[in-house]
Amino acid sequence: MKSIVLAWRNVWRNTRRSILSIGIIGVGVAAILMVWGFMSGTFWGLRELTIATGVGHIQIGSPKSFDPAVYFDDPGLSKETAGEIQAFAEAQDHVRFGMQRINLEGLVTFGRTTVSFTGTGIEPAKEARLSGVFAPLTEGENLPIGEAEGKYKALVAAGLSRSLGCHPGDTVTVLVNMSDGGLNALDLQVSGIYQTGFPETDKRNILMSIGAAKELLGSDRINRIILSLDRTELTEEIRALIARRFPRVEVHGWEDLAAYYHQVVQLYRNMFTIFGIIILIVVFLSVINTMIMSIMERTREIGTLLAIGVPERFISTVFVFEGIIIGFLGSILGTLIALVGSSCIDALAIQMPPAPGRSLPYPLNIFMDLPTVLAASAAIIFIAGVAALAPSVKAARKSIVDSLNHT
Amino acid sequence: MAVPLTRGIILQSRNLVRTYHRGDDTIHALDHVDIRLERGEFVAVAGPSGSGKTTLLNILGLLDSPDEGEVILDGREIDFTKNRNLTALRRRHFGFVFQNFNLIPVLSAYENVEMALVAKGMDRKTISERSRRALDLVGLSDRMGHRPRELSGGQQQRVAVARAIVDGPSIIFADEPTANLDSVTAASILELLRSINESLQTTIMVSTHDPRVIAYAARRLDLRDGRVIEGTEK
Repeated sequence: MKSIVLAWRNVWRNTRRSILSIGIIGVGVAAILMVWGFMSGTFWGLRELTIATGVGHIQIGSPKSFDPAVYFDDPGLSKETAGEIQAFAEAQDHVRFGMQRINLEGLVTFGRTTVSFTGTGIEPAKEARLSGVFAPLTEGENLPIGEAEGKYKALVAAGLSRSLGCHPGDTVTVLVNMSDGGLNALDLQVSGIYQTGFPETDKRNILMSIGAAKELLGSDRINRIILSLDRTELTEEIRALIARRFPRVEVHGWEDLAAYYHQVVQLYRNMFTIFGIIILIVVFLSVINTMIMSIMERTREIGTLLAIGVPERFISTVFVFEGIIIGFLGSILGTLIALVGSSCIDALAIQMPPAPGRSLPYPLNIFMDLPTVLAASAAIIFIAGVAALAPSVKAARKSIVDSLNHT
Repeated sequence: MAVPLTRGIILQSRNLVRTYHRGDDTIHALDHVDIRLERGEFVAVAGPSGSGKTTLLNILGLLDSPDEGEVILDGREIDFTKNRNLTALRRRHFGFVFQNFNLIPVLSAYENVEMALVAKGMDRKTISERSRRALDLVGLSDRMGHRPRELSGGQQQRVAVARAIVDGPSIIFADEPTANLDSVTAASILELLRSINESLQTTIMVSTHDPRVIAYAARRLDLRDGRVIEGTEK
């Protein structure tokens, strides 16, 4: 207790120097918290974007159908099996809804242009609930919720619409291999142009109603059941529940299906690690500089304390507490700066440019939470204490006579 | 190693040698110094600047180590290689008063005195009682909460004396304790030291070149160029 009181008073002996050190640490802590908050916000945004732009929280398909090599050769689930699984899943708490998809590929023709496409038969109303926010239409309208047989409509991805030169209102012809090996063609009226967020997918993708897909393929088998949850954090729990109930199908959470998300997270974490190390080094140097100056000014006092029998350990402890106090106050200041900064950024509703490999901007969010604040503060306080330790141990071991004669 | 001592001798040096090197010059701060301090003595180490007074006090006070020779405290030869032991011995046996008072500026008079007891393992009550008693003895019971900058030079030196006596040391080493004080204040400090010497039977060793200080001592040791040239009983 005595050492803490002495340390506290010593911190304020040279107010300007201490405030400068606290300020440097505060800026460092604020930078760490805001960068981490930015990363957390980006991860969250990217996660929700990934889920909302088609991946969903959970996907269910036939065995091996998640292997990209057999993606379009997947025989799918029977209508009855798919219905049973979907009904079970939708009966679980936190499952907002389930929906079905059919995968297909083939050729699409408009005028004299024919290109290959990959398509998905979807349930438009449910897809809109999943992706309405994150996959905006750039032209035209969404797929109608109900459509008359033989008058099917399609959403064409922006890149593909440019290749074909088609616009809303035009009719494109799609040609696919049927499940029985024959060929089938269908006219689809373009109702809208949309963006997937991925330039590569934008070049080839068509969305059509699940009815149109079934008619094209001549089959009512289902390739995917997609589940949307009301809490992303429960994905694994619900996935495991369904997997246990239906062991003959494959059930994957969004994390299994979002390689891009993991790449971005890893990239950002690597960058943050380097950034964090730089900040910790700056804090270390700042505190060590403050402590060396402080020790030089108080060398005679150190000699006096040693002379009257105060143990070296006590003297070192006082300096370590000084470092810890400076680190602690810097952490508080940094947290306040980060709170104000993140509030301002949230209020400005800044949109970030699209991440590499994506075509949609995303909102700049700075997420701050107590565990992060505590972890950053603990790291800074620890570094500040360590920075104070080395010079103070050296000072406490200096010759008493030299210390007493120090001017 | 236990060394037989004459009855009453508390501290003794034998053939103390301490040299300093400055460039090519070798300075013999102490040159085979033999002295004896008896319990309850008030001794003045006199001599001009550079005669070795401070070096002698530093070595006898276990703040510095000799190049050669022995220091014997209470019949035991000091091992200068064990720093932790030296700290413990200083804490147990010695008090120090410095020329520049050397108080901790962020601590009050009371806390400065209390600091000397920090490693004693005493309970709060004992520490408080002893610190207050020491300050009372030096006449500063009404200045306990004052920081050094709020005290005069004489009062600061009294706090330093209180710090030196708070744990009842056997010996107080005072290195030029009045050098930064006016003559009236210096006299009061010397009176204080003499009263401590008489009432508590604390051995006091003062280094000085001021004849007025020497006048307070019962015995003087004259140092010249690191050698004791004279010892005078008053």
